[in-house]
Amino acid sequence: MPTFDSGAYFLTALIPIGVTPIAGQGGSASPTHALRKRLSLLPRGEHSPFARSARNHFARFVVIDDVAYNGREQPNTLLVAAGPALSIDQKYKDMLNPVIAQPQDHLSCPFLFFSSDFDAASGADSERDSYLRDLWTRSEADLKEVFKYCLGFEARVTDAASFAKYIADCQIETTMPFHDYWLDGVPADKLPNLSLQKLGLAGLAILAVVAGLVYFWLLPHFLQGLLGGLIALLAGVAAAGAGIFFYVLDFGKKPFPAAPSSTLPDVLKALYLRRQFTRFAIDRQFDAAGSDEASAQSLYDSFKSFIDASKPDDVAEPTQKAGAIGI
Amino acid sequence: MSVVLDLADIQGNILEAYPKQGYFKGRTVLLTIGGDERRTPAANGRHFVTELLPRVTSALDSKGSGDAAEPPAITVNIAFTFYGLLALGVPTRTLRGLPDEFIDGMAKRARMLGDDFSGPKWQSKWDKVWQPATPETAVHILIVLNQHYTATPADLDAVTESIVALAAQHHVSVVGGHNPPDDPSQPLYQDLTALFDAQGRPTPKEHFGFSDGISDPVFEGQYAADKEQAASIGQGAVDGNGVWRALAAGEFLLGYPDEAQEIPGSAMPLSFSRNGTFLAYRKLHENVASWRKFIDDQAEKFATVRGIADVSVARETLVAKMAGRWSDGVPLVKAKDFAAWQAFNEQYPEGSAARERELVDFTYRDDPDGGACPMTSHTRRVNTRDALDPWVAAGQPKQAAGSVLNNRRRILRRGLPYGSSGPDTTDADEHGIVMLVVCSSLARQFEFVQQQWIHYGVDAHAGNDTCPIVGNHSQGADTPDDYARDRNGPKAKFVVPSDPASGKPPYIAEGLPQFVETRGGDYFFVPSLTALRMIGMGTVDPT
Repeated sequence: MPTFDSGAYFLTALIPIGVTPIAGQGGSASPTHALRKRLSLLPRGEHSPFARSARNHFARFVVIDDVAYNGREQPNTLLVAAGPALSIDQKYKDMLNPVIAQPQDHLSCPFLFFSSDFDAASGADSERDSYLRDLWTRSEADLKEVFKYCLGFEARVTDAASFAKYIADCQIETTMPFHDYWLDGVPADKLPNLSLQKLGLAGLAILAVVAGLVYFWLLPHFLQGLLGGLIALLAGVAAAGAGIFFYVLDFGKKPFPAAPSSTLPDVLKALYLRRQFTRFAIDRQFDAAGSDEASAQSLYDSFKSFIDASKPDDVAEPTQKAGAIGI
Repeated sequence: MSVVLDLADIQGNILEAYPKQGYFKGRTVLLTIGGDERRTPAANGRHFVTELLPRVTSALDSKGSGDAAEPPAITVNIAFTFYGLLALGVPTRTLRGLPDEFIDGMAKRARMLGDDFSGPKWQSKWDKVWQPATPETAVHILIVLNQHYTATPADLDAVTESIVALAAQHHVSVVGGHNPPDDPSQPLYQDLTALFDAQGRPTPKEHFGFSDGISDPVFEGQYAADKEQAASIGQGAVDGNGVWRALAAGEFLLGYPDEAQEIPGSAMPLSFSRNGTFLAYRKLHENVASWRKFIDDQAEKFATVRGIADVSVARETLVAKMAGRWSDGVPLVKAKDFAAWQAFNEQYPEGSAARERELVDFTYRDDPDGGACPMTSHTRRVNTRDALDPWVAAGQPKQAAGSVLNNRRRILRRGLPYGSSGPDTTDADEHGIVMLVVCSSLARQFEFVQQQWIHYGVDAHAGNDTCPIVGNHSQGADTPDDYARDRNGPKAKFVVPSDPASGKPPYIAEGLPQFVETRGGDYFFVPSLTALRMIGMGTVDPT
């Protein structure tokens, strides 16, 4: 289930945008125009509406006007080459005739793509809904300014719960999430373990059981013999193959475990500590170089006050503000 | 069949640096093309180019072969800005085939290049000649003159005067002012000179005291086929097994396959671009006094932290860690501490062929954490060799990628220092380097190195630290400038890693001042002799 992986929920939603012109400055305006303007004015960094959530790692909006047109569909050139001899399908002939226009795919309306990844204990809907409700509670005004251009938003969304429902209705499956907090790769003992040997033995067992069942139970007498044996073997192989295939497919859906200390508060605390420690290291490098008692004591004392002040074990504070970018 | 270059069609100073051919002094002349009711700028400019063409030095001439029995006393080379090509009437279709960064010019790229360290009015601190101008009055033409050691300054003056007189006949005039705008003295030309030692011999030194210009990319066609492989050791591309080869010619000349194994698109017609290249002219002022003061101050602290008894040893070590090479050019990878440096110099004495090779023949494979040569040192940043090979630590030479992430980021350095810096010099004195960066894509090569490797610390695992020597150090600087203050953060710093086995902590030098300041420059197109002829005749035909 790629919507949830390594301790993060990857929300993807496609929300239809209205097509009726809206009242804008100096006359009516296209909703996508107004929406794009609003998005380009969205506050950034610490002032971003998403920075107010203590779970949100990344968020992105994209306006999708329409699907791209890839040009005319071309027929299979081999069939065309053999055309005169084969009397090829009329469809191919039409494809080659530039006078006959081909149909094009279009969206019925533009869409607002919204994706966000946030800390979650599981891929359950309740995790998604609690994130969305929290987002609404903290940033209702900013969100309204963005989503008011979307179809049905103003009629349907009145509070946090209805906002969560509205986004959930537009959710699509995330098929390729990206989460990079396993810095040095996932340790082998944390990975879901799949023994190829066991898988092979299980496959063989299925093969034997199915082949046996088919041969001795299903097949009528007159088919038994070499032909019957072959049919039974084929059925066994097919059953074992299908079993292994679906097992592996199901196995692939198991989420990665969460990386240690990879929630947003942990990451912010780590950034804060790194800065503070750099400051400490610069200020105290002369004590660290000394080999006498006094400088050792001084280094010890200053490290203690560094620990007391920065509280490495307290994830909540002091810490870096969410959304803070820079040096 | 390897690449055979048409030396007579390629301008000099590209394949081989003039200073390595005995040209230790030089001069740059900047020109702008004018017009009047009688003749358009295009006509004037074309006449000038056509009449100058026979005097332009090719790669063949500068070797003292071909028609010339001896190398020319004064070499003459020419290049154009985008507005220069526009003024010369080069067709629109050709112009729009030129790269974006060249059309922009260097001033527009200042933010990205880190040239805006002095605040929002950064350009007002550039030399007068590089102050903002209209397309009509901007610098259009760069003439680079280099003086052979057998020639005299009078020879250089004579050639300068004759070219300036030729230009004047065609309403092409000199744009002077090679000092900051408030300086009462505004030279017409930028004079260049190598630094000479007490005995009057030219040295490869620049004003901070480093030997410069040691690394110089070797590419196909520069050397005869039988000499190419040997020349490329340490200077070309290296694979995961330590085998060197020459880089593709297309990295430095237009119209040839490059390291992506394709001929990159260039301005049409091909004859306009082929055998030409691009050049970034960068006048880099060196704050020599600030440098000396900072290093003296830091050397004592460094000696304390590292427990080095002799401060002069600490000083040499600290500047070597910043540069990636000892002041005489010996790479840190070959000599990681002072004693090893002395031993190296004993084993490979000055002037020996073995030394020349040892200075360049190395990789970072055995120093992945920068214990010998810090990842943030200048030379390791700008020429990463195999340091970015993702498999370098995996110990699987067959898989290793060698210098593949570096091969498309190489530049030729063809400049010379200018000015002087005696013991009592101040930052305000005129001294530095006029860096002439040559490559076939300024964006992909020069600008990438400047932005990603000099000014970001990511590939060097160094956070926001910029290059300790040439980087932008404006962060957190004690400055009254609002702009710099707005970007204030921790002061610029440089970390000298230590060998964990030594038990010593790393040393962190904090508060690096701005050592190198850009004082102006621009991007130029260096055409082939064929393209110069076409520009002069007005026969550039892109159809």
